[in-house]
Amino acid sequence: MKTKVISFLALSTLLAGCGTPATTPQPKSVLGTSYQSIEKEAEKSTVRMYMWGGDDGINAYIDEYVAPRLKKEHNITLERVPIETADIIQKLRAEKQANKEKGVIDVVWINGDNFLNAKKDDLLYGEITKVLPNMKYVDAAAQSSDSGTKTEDLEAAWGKVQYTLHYDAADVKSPPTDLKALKSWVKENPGRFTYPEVTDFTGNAFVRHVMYGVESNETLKDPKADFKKTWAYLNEIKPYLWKQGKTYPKTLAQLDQLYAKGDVDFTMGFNERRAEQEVTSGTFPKQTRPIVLKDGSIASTHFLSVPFNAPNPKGALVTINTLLSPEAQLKKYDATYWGDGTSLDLSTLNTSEQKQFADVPAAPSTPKPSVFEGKVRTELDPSIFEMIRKEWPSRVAR
Amino acid sequence: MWRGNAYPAAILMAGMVLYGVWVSISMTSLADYHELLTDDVFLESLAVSSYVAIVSTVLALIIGVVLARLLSRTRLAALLAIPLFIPHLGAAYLAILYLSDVPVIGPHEGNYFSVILTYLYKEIPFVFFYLLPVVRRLDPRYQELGMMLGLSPVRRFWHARGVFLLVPILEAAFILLAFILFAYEIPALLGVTYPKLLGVYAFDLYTQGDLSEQPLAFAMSVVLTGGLFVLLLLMTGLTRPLAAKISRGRSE
Repeated sequence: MKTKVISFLALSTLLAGCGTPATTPQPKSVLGTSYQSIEKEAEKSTVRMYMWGGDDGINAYIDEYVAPRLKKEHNITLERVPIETADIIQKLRAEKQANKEKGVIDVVWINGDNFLNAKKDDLLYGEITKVLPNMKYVDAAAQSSDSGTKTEDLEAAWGKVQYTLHYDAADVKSPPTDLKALKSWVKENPGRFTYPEVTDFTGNAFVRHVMYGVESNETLKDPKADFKKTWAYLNEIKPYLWKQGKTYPKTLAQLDQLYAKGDVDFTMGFNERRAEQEVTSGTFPKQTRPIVLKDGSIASTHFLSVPFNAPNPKGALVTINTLLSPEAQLKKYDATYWGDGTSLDLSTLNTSEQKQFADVPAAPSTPKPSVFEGKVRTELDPSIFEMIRKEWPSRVAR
Repeated sequence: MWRGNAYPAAILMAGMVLYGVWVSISMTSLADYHELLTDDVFLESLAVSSYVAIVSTVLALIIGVVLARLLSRTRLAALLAIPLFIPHLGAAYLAILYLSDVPVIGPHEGNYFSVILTYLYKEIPFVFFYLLPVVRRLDPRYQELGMMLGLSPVRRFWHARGVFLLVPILEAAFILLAFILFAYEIPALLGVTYPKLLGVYAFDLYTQGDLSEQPLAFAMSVVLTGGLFVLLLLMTGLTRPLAAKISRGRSE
C-alpha cells in the first residue's frame, strides 16, 4: 500500500514537473534581446502569416516576392494562411480562454476594430516595434494610432492609404467634387450610386466622410452627439440610390461587382491605387477615374503584429522587419502586385530610394499626390464606428 | 419505415445542442434578454424570418407531397435529385444569375421572394425524398375499405393516407423550419439591408465592432433554440399517441 502511494506521488510530481516547462512559450524577453541575435536564431525556422486572402495581387506579392526573399536572406520559410481578420481575433480569444500558450499564428495583418479588440483582450505579443531596426523609416504619424486607438508599439505600420471614390468617366461627364455636388448628382441620376452597408469597413467610412462634410468640428469631437445632419444627408439621397435605397451592397466586393457590371457609376474604398489592377485586368471600366472630395479623405493605416502565443516570435519579428524595408515597401507600392501606399516617411530614405518611389508610374485612375494636400483627415474616435453601426439601421436603412 | 437504434446519434446530437445552449447561457445575463426582446431591429428581423421560414416550409411541403404522389412510380423522380447535390450557397448564386433582372421577385427585394424561391428549389426535393418511402407504401386497399364502409371523401383520405403521412410531414416541417429560421448563406446573398433575416443579423452581432454585442447574439440563440424546443415538445406530444396507434394497428 505504502509503495503504491509513494509511486503515485512520485509519478504525479514527475508529471507536474514536466508539464509546466514544456508548455511555457518562449519568454517575452525575446523583446529584450538585440535584433542581431533574434535574426540569427530565426534562421531555418517557419513563419506562419495569417492574413485576409481576398486579393490576388496582395497574395502574389507575399508568395512571389516576400517569401523567396525571406528564404534567400534568412532561410525562413514563409507560409501564408488566408483567413478573415475577425476570425483570427476570435481564434486568439478562444485560445486565451483555453490557456493555450502555444498557438499557430506568428504574424497577423490587422487594423481598426480588430486591433482595438486584440489590444483590449491582451491578445498581442508586446512592444515589438521597439526592437525592429527598420522602424526608423516608418512615418511616426501613421504609426502612432490605428483608427483612433493608440498603437503603443504593439503593431508596426505596414501601409497607408487614402479613401478615394472612383467613377466611370464614360458615363459621368461632370463628376461631383464635394458632398453637396454629389448629392445633386445622385438626385439627377437615380439608381446610379450607392455605398456598402455600415457593417462593412468601407461603408462605415463613407458615413464618416459625410460626417466630415456636414457636421461642425465640435460635433465631430463628441461621439455622444446627435449626428442629425449626417442622417439627414443620407436620407435625402436614399430614394435616389441603387434599388431606391431599399437595400445596400453587403460588402465592398458587392459594390465593386455592381460597378464592374455597369449597374452603378461609382465605387469607393481605402487605397487610392486600388482601381489600377482592376482596370488592367479588365474588371473595371477603362475610363475609371478618381475623385478626392473637397470635404476631405480619411487616411487609414494598416499594421502587422505578433499574437501573444506565437510559436515563432523571432521569425515573426524578422519577417515584419523585412516587410518594412524600403525595397519591400517599394515593391508593394508598385501596382504590378498590389499598389499599396507606403507607411514609410520618404524623407528618411536616401535620394536614390526617394527617386525610385517618385518614379513608380501611376495609372489615370490614381489621383496625383498633390490632390490630397489639405484634404487628409485623421480617423474619428473609434466609438463613432460603433455608433454608426448601431444607429444607421434604424435611422437610415429602415 | 426503418427504425434502427437511434440512441447513439440522439445522445451525440443532444449533447452538442445542450453544450451550445449551456455556453450561450453562461455568456448572457438577464439584461441581455431584456435588451434583445425590446429591440425593434431584432423583432422585425424575427417577424420577417418567420414569414420566410413558414411560407417556404408550407409551400415546400405541399408541392413536395403532391409531387411524391404524382411521380413516385416514374423515372422523373431521379431528376428531382439534382438540386440535392447543389449546396445552398450554389443555389443562391443560381438565383443571382437567373433572377437578377426579374422585377419583384429578383434578389434584394423586401418581399424576400427570391429567398423563398431558392428555398423551394432546395427543399421540395428534400420533402419529396423524405416522403417517398411512405407514399410508395400507402396501401390502396385502405381506400377501397373506406369506400365499402361508406366514409366521406375527407374521412376516407384521412384514414387511408393522412394518418400515415402526418408524422413524417411534421418531422420534415420541423427540420425545414428550424433550418430556414437560422440559415445564413441564402439571406446573406439575396437578402436586403433592413430588415435582415435572423442568421445574418446574429452573425453581424457576433462578429462586428468591439464585440460588446456578442451577448445579444448568444441570447438570440438561447431564445430561438428554446422556442424550437417547445415546438418540438408540442409536436411529439401531439403525434405520439397517433404514431403509437398506427404501429399497434399494423402489428396486430
